[in-house]
Amino acid sequence: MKLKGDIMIKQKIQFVLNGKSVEVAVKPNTTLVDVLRYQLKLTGTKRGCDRGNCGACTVLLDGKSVYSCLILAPKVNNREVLTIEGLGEPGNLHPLQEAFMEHNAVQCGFCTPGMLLSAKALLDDTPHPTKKEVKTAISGNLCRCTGYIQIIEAILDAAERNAKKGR
Amino acid sequence: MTHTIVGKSITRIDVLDKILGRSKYADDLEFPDVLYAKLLRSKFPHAQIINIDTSKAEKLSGVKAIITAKDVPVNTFGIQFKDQVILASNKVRYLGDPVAAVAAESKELAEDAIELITVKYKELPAVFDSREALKASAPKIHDGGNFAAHRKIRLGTVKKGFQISDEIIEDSFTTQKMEHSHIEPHTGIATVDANGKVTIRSSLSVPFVARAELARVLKLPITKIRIIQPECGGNFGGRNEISLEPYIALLAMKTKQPVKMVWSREEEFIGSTIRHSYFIEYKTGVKKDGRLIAREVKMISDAGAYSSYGESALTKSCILASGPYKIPNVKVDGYLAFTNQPVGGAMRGFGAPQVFAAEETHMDHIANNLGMDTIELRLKNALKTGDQTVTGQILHGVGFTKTILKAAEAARWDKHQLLTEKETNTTKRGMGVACLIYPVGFTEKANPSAAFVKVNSDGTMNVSIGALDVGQGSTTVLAQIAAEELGTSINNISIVTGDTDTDPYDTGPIASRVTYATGNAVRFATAKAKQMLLEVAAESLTVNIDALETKDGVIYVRGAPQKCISIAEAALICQQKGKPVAATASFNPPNALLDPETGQGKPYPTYVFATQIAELEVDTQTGYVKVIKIVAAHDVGKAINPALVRGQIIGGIGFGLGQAMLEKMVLAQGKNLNPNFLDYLLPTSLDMPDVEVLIIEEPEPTGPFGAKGVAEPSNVPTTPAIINAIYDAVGIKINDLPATPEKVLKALREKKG
Ligand code: FES
Ligand code: FES
Repeated sequence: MKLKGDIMIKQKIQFVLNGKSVEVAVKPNTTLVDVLRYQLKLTGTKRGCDRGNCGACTVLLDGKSVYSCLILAPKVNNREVLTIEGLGEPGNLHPLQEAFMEHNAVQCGFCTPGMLLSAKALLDDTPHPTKKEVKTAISGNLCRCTGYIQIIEAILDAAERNAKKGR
Repeated sequence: MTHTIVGKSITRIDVLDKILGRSKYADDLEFPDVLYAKLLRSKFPHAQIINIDTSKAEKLSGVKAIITAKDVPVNTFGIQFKDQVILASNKVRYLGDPVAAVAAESKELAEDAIELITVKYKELPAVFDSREALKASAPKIHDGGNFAAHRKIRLGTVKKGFQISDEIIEDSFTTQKMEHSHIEPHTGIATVDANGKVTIRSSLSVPFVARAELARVLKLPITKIRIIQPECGGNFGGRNEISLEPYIALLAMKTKQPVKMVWSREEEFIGSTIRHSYFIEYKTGVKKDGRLIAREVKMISDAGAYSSYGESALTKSCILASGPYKIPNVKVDGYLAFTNQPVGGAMRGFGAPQVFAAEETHMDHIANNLGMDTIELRLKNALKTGDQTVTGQILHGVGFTKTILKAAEAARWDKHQLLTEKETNTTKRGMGVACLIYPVGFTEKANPSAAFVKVNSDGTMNVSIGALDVGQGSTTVLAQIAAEELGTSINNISIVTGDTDTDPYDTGPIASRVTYATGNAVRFATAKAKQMLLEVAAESLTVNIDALETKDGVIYVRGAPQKCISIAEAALICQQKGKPVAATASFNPPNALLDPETGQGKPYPTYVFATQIAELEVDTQTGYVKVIKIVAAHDVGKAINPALVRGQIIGGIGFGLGQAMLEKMVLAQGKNLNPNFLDYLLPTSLDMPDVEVLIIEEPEPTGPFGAKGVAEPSNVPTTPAIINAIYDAVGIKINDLPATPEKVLKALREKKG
């Protein structure tokens, strides 16, 4: 029988995480979500399925939204990762965070970090999305609580605010 | 009465941590030397255990403890009947039954250890259909057989009722098994201190019930068990009883180390409770003018391997089987049967989604048979204030008719024939309506809440409660209730919850009861504290206490607002006089047991009502149904926070849409064939229609500021409204959920002949 507990070899990887360079030793079979959550202690990235089916673990890799449970950690070597912890902070919220707050786009909050990052990837790419584009952009992020509508409203509103601010 | 805080869409008070990714859910908590636990579950749906050999697994380095049935002090549990085992010893009754649990230094090691445990089984014949299970020839799952419960409602004489009816309409309906699918899987961590006190951090919705259950299982006094609730990633009924807690507690007790367990998504499907599937038969006698005269309903609910909440969910199904209508003669029989399948538990709507899917599609069938408008039929029979329910309960504050009229107006029901203008050769449009009556709180049984408040010398107030916010926003709503009652800003209220050692007792955020029950407890406790403040204020302002009012943190004389004293000052005076301001109160929704033979009595304190109208398009070439819009009119008593109410209703509509069109646990010989979100389809953003929410407020005299509840009722009418709209569009009646494209297409082909 092949046991899983015996992979011990680790390799060093270096990447830019939320604007800062980090170095960490990882097992080759470790996924990015595990490195973020358990090694780097950034628990804002959630895990709902570990199979690429729910979107709770969404982060941005070189600006594109990815499921971090499907990315082997060595793959991010020399690349750039943005997690929810890097999106905004109290007093300096990202417009999407402000809009999520005001539109009651958050219930249990478990899908929220992934949702916000998928939304950011969309707005970075398409600053003035249509409703259909918003729906498509977050269609890989499951939310069991909200029924999505207040999330969609929040993203459209954030896009509008961005336009006004000229971002 | 005008309110300053109640009725306002105040931003949820827990939102900041959530949007920053800083809220701590169970798996986000860190403990040094934590061990990882994993369950070995049954290999067969029904089998005898001959032998369990853990010796190989024990030898694996890094494995710290393995437990089997012999390690469980009291090896039974169950919310209603103690018919479930923590770890199976001589028999397994479904594939989710745990047989052994392991704690190891890593997740991988725990998984390896599980694979090294060998269990010798003797397979037994099994039964997977609730109707088969009730036959005498069926293999017996429990010693007492497979018959788990029978609930009845008897009103008038149905036989006579059918005789005097002009027409009798019959239908049968099948509903599916569903998984709660909260995105956060079941997760928990147990620690044990030097005195042997067990602390569990997991997102249980019923911490007090669970604490008592754990004390029983572990044979410890209740004070030796403490449950701390981290942030909760959704409930929907999925966390309404103990799940992984006993295993991590036992393993932590054995290893003296913190033990964590996280269920995989697959385990959520296989080993957590689910929505009961039902077989339902309806027969209704009606007069030509549409008056409902008699109704007979038979239903069989599949309990799965253990009873869990099965009987009380079935009771609710029976009570609600006559819908929000006045029917003089009713006979309902509900049966609960054990099968070798996943255990049915509490799930949003608790027995109502199944019956309303049948009942409200049956109503359309009746209307269509009579050649009557489906809304007209509903209006004609609608329950009104002063009417009696099927259990003989007299209703007050019924906003039902209003929900029908408002929904019909918003959906432009009168123009609904014009929908054909939007049709093409291959797409057909339809509109369907469905209505709802839904109770607040537990069926028959006590479900109290308590609150403890203290007003501080700066005018702020701590409110301790035992009902965790599981995402619905109850903490914000309770803070609004407290602020309104005290007469201060919401910023001055701090809600404290999530710890059984310090919180007052609460039944929990289940049965749509927190706003109503915990809300009342909070309001009453606050009123008592306020009374203390008013007494000192009256003294220092030398006026009668009745002349005083509070607003914005100030106590002032009505009509002479310049004569005032701040709440802070009054609280300080109380403190200096040796009477710090503190108060407790409790509230138990008034209800009572039903007569077991007739089902007559007052099972609930009050009911909410709703009407939803769905508009959709059916692609006749593919069978694909696109829901375009849903109008949802809900009588909630009073919306304490309209934005949150809207959030609950839209979220519920998503749930109902999943039940109508997408979700179904597929089982073959007790084995789940789609235990993941790839094959079990949850609604995504692309599935959601536009939603128009209409909040109807018919104040409930016993509710806080007139409020009732909204969490569960929102998903129930969605399903039948969609099924009815499909009929309206293409003339096919789906009577087996969900209405997948394959089913729709098949029905279309059959209709064509
Ligand atoms: S946890 Fe990565 S997609 Fe679900
Ligand atoms: S808010 Fe709970 S899953 Fe989205």
